[in-house]
Amino acid sequence: MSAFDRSGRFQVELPEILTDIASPRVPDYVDDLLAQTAATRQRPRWTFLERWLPMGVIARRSLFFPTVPWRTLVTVAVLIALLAVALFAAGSHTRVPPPFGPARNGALVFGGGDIYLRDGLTGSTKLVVGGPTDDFAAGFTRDGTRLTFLRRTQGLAGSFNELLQMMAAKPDGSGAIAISEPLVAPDWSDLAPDDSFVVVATGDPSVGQVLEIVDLRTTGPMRQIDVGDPQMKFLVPNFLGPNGTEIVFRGNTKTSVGRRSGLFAVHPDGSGLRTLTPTDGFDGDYLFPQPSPDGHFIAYTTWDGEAKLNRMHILDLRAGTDRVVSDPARSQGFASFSPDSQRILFLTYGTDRTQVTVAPVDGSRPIAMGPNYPNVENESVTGVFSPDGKSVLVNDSGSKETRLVDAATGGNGELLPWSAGNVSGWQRLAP
Amino acid sequence: MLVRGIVARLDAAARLILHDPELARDAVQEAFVKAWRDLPGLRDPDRFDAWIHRITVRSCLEILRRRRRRVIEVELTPTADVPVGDIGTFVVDRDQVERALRRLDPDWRALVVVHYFLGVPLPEAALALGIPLGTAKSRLHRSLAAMRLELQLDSSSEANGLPRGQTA
Repeated sequence: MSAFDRSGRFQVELPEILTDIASPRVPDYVDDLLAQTAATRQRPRWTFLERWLPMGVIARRSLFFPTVPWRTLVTVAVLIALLAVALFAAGSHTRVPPPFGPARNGALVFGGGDIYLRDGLTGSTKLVVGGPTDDFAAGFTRDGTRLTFLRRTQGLAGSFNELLQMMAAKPDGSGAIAISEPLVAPDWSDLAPDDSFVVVATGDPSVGQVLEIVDLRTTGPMRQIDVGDPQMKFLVPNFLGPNGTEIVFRGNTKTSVGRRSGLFAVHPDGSGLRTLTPTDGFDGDYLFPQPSPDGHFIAYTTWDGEAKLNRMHILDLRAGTDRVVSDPARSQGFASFSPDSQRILFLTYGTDRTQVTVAPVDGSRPIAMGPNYPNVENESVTGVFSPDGKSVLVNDSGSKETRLVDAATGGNGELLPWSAGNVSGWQRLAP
Repeated sequence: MLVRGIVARLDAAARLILHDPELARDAVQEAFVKAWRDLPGLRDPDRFDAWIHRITVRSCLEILRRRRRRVIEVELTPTADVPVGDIGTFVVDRDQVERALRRLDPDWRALVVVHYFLGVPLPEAALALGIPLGTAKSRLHRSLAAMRLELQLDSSSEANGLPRGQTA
């Protein structure tokens, strides 16, 4: 028997009484439960958009996100992956933009399932990749002469047995060819400066992803990069400007105190592995490393366990400094650089809303780009600089809208009614 | 051992919410399989407890929702304002508390269990149930008031020798 009175003993004693009622005990089905769990494949890490881009994603040239939501978000261009086998022939006599830095704005690609190309912001729209295949995450090569995209060749979108293939085509969608073997969970890819090959992080995330080189000039097998550390697991590889002789990536490897993460750089042939940061990070640290086009900075995001917020860091490779540049009161992160390397575009977010934001590299004077969108489960808010750096495209897959915003002044910008919130790539043309 | 302890606690919470050991088993199994499958997406390992609580509670509520679609729904709890008056001192046993808990709307009951049994702070409990913090505060206040009232009525009935109605 328990006595309760209005003084609050009811609440005080309720936990004990509930424990008495429930009588917690290890249930007899626990072994079955553990067996059932062990027989269940874990969802690939790359399907958790929020893992890398918590409340959304900064769309960039080389990011793939193969499931339906990602697709809408297109992230992209990362995607871009690719290639071109035939492409050099076609593009060799064309004036092309430099591999890094500002360029002139060209066509835009968007869509998922089918891929559409828009001839600039004011031109016409046409279907460039259609039919029964599931194609998405379209983008362009660095020189703008080839269209690249991902094609699902096996499994359901986002399922553990899904396989994806990198494809390349002419900008009008014709001549599409597979440039890679079917890939397991491609997490991120980036094109070499001369567009001759792409580096992609791929493989079962529960085992650990590897870096593969996909040659765009031949149809031979992929080549795995051996950095001399068999314990290394790789994520988010990007070529380091301005000459692209090194690949920057987030690595997780064995240390004297257990597995830890950090940022690394290595040559494409696997030689010269070096650390760019301490190798002391946990699961939520050193996320989404993005080099500036001029190669001077790397932006990354880490988890502040005390404040329970994401923090945005700028690593200055020349000065050897690492600064937190985010608002101390809010989660900010997942930054990418403007083509001129002078500004960063990042997400400012909480549990309920996500805002695309642009600021100088030191994080000062942030400017909001587009509306402060409400968070929608499995949907994302993304932003990407135009090739000339004067505008920002803001995608919100939740409301299915894309806005073009002045990168200098911000605001809600102009709604692009043809896009439906999933512009994934913007062609770079010679200035 | 750690996993067995977690399962024991979540099984108990599910039984409190669902009032059915078999349904509780289903809820915990669903929650664990989902948690295992989605584990690579957990950004902050420190949040594991809150995360698994949330998944389990939502699994319980989803099972209840599925059952509601198949079974005649019975309103167990007054949804209008519950009088929070001068209740005074009364005496109850665990069966009375269990009956009072059972009469709560499942969403309210889940909140009471998450907060008072699992010991989840109210802001996190609100997050687990997908409701605003203000709503959680209001629901908890009204849940306790409703339980107090039931306990009072139960005690009065027993004192008068009158049986209380059986709930579904």
